[in-house]
Amino acid sequence: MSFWDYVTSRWDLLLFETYQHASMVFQCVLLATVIGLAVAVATYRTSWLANLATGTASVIFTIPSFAMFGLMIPVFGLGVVPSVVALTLYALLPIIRNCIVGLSGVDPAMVDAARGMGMSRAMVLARVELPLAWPVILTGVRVSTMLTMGVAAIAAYVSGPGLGDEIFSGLARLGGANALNAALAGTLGIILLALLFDAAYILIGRLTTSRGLRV
Amino acid sequence: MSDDVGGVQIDLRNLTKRYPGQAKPAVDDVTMTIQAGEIVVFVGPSGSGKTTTMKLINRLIEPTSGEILINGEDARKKKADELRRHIGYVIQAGGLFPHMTVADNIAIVPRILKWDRKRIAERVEELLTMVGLEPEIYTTRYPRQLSGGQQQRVGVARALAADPPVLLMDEPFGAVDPITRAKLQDELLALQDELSKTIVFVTHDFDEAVKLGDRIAVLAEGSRIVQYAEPAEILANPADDFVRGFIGENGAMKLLNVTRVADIDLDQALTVAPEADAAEVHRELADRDEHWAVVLDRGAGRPVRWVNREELADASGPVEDFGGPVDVTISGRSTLQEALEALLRSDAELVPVVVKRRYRGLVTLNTVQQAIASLREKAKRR
Repeated sequence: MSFWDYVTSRWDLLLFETYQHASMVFQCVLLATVIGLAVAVATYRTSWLANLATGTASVIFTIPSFAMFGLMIPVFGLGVVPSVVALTLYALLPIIRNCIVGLSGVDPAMVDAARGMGMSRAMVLARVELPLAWPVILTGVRVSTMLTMGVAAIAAYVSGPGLGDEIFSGLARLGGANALNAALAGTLGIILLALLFDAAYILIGRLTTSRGLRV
Repeated sequence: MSDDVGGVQIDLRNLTKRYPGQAKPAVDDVTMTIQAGEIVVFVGPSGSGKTTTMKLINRLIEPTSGEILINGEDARKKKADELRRHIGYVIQAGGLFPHMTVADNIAIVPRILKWDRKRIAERVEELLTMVGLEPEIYTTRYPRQLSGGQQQRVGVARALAADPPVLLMDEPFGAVDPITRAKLQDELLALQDELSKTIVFVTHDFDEAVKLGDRIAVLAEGSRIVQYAEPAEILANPADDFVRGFIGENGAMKLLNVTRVADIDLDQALTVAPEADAAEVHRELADRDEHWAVVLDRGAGRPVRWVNREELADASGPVEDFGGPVDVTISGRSTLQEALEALLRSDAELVPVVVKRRYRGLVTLNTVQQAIASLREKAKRR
């Protein structure tokens, strides 16, 4: 069976797995963004706390993905939960780091001016610091998404959802019927998804970044 | 200047700011009164604590001890954010937010104070006009689309948005070129003529202080007030070598620049009517042992001609047939520097001073010298 035949014959399944893959990545990155932003906002003004946050995220990041998913099994068993937990942890590093870099990179004169006009801490954050740091934060989210896209394939190892299943089952029976086709379909699907997400981020960046910040 | 004062008095009493781990306080027991409607300039070298002292007023830096009274009210009893909404704040380059349009930048405080949309839009337009930027063009621009001078104007407009009685300006014109800076300074003075805010202005540029300040506070380390006086007094009689060093070499020249002709003792000459008899005038000049007489226009009292004693020797007929026309006069509002300029330019020994189109007296090189000497004398006696 040719690759094309393989894809058409399993179109529905592949489509479903692609959807699952995208949905999982999207949700994990969203979750990581919420957590990452919260961590960054809570730590960026105290340098040792900010360092601790980035340091911790880096340590998590250095754990090999296979090991990470494996470590999830005794705690969360198999399926969606361990996949989401592991992926979110991976997604955190670029987000936390960029949020902290972005927020602490805001010109202190801007904060001084904002405070001097009588903005409360929360107003300064919402109206000045976050909008100014936004391009950097968004870049972090984008990098994190690309990263998660690839790592998500390994979620199949803990019976997680997504295109990883195609790749794993293909690789497991290499030489057998359609083995290569399956691995190829999974890989190409992930690449396609990554490109699609990236395009979306460019669009989001255009729409959400102030014209005053674009050069 | 308008009579209604838009500003309020500020009193600093025993104000001290100590940072933990530092032996000397950054601001050490500062007590001063800033009069309502005046521009007070804090001037001093870097590290003198001038900016810190200014930031104590709007509590961007919380004092360790001491009192701040704004219009008699204790600023430390208010919520800091609330307090700051009623104190204008301008920093270098305006401190504009690059992600907001000019209109949004100006509207920040009015929005916090929950003004309605229409009122905010009207206020933005009014302020932009006031600082000389056309609202139709500039409301929708972003700060990066403006020149340095324009950004600074928007910064001032933003600080004035909610019409605060007090304005704090932290080296606002430090980042623009000298020509733009001089223009911005002139504009600020013109605005102040209209608004009479209480303005605390921080700079390290003594010339800027002299130009803008109704009063100057020269600050040394620990924000110690070395001298707090009107510019002319500081120039005429610097308190010590520190102030003298700050004024620089040409203090006398600067003094010329801040002293107005109307405020000094003018020389007087014989004044005569155009139809006065020349021989009569000659005799009178001889009696008084003077050299020059000035011929005044009959109705208006404007100086029209000069005559000197030699020209009138053996003369007869109306005095207006002799001497030469007066071509240079100066007004009472002119500075001594301008008077000096007029003297040198007209190649005359004396220049008549005209106040409200009437002759008031004369300025000669000697008058200027005497004036400076007496200013010094007066300042010393105080």
